[in-house]
Amino acid sequence: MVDIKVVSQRSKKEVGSFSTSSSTTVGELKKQISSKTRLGTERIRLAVPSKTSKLPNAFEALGKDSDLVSKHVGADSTLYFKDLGPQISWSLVFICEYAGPLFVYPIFYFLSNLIYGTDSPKSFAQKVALVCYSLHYIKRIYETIFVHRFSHGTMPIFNLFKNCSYYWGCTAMVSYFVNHPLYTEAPIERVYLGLGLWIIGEVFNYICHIQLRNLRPAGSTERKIPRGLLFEFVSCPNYTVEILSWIGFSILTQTLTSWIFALMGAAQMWIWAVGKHRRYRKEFGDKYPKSRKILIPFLL
Amino acid sequence: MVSIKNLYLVLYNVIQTIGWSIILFKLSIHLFETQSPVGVWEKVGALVSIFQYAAVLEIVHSVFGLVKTSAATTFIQVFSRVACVFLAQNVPTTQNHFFLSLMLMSWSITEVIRYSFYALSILKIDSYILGWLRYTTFIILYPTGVTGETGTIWTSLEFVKNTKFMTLTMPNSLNFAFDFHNILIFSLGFYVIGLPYLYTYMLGQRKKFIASHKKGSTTNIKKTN
Repeated sequence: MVDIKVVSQRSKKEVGSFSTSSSTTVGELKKQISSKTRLGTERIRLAVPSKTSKLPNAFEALGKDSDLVSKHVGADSTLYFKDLGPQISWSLVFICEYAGPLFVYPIFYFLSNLIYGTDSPKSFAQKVALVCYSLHYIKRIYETIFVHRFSHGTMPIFNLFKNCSYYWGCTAMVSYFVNHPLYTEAPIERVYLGLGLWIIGEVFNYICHIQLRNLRPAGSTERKIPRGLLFEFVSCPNYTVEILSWIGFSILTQTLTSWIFALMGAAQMWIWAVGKHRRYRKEFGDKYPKSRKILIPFLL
Repeated sequence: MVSIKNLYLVLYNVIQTIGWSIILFKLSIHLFETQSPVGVWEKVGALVSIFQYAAVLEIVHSVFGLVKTSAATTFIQVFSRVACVFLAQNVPTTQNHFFLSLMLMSWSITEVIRYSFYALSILKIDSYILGWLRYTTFIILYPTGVTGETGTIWTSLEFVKNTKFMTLTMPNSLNFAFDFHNILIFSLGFYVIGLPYLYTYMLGQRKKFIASHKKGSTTNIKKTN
């Protein structure tokens, strides 16, 4: 038996001393801490001082709850505790952030008089844009409920406000200009080109999500190398085609704000894709296909 | 051996210190001689523009990790100042106003202290006086600076509205409209939110600075005994 000292990461005050054996898992230790601190296990993060980071006071979180504590604890038998704050389930966050655009976007379409002080008949491009934008978020909600499997159960509740502000705010920014009475429609061939790219993007995005779902058996957090179709070319084709989808939407709507939204989304997805690509490389080593790029086939 | 990074940062901070010192000197003499804000921009406007626009490099420094400060915080601070300089350059009604002089005086005192403090810090020279000034003068200079900045924005509103300066109206091929007048009014709200946040942050930094130097002085006493 080993007594492990758990210290607050912020204040450096001792939370308590906990008895562990060589077979005690991180999850079991969290339960012990939970009963002492009265905090749910999902709020508890345990970490050790980072060996790789150059920054002072940098910490590395312990791995999965199924990992053995003995694998992580150093000679001083000390772990660092951080309260992650109130938590909320990933799926609930996603549903909230995706449901918002479904209500916000049509406000500008249907309540022109109220918002712009004038009304005008909607053009073909504006009608198509409403359908595309709404279908995109209906698809996302459907995938959140029926397709995605989340490896983490919860996230800090602050993320709900942050993510909702982003999605709802950007929707208002896009919809305001797309549905403006003085909106200038793009040439019809450009509308069809944009719509075509949007459809290709959405269909392939759904296919990628199904492929990712089938990689992971229900109730498991096990990771495998994704294979088949676009996964042979890039690590995160779901992001590649989502960016394509938003480029299509921007072409068909011909609005600066749509392009800004597409660019912001692409930048965020690039950051996620780089992280995921590195994790795949680290986790699977030589087994991971060397020719596979991050986001853009054959290039990047 | 001084690294190229540190050499560059020292050079940047020294140049900024010299620049803002000249601005402070010229500004003080002008205000002392004329006892009036009229002609201030004519006197120091070009220099202020050069050294304030050069501060955009600080965002680059943060992004590339040359300094530890957050890129987002640096961006907000630099952007708000650059915007005020841009207004002063383009809106004649701001140029001879008391608010502009207040803003420039607050900036120049702050910047002379700040940049010289940074330059010495990089060279590992611990100047308590400069440090104390850095973390004390803001108590007065932040409110005066913000008053000057918001006042400058306020005095530009009428001109911007009447001349439709920097305003884009629909219809256009970008399907985008930009009402600079409304943006300026909206930006005033950010100052209301931002000042208390920045002020409390700096008070915290001041507390840390004084505490660390108290520790330092006690350890020095212990060493000499």
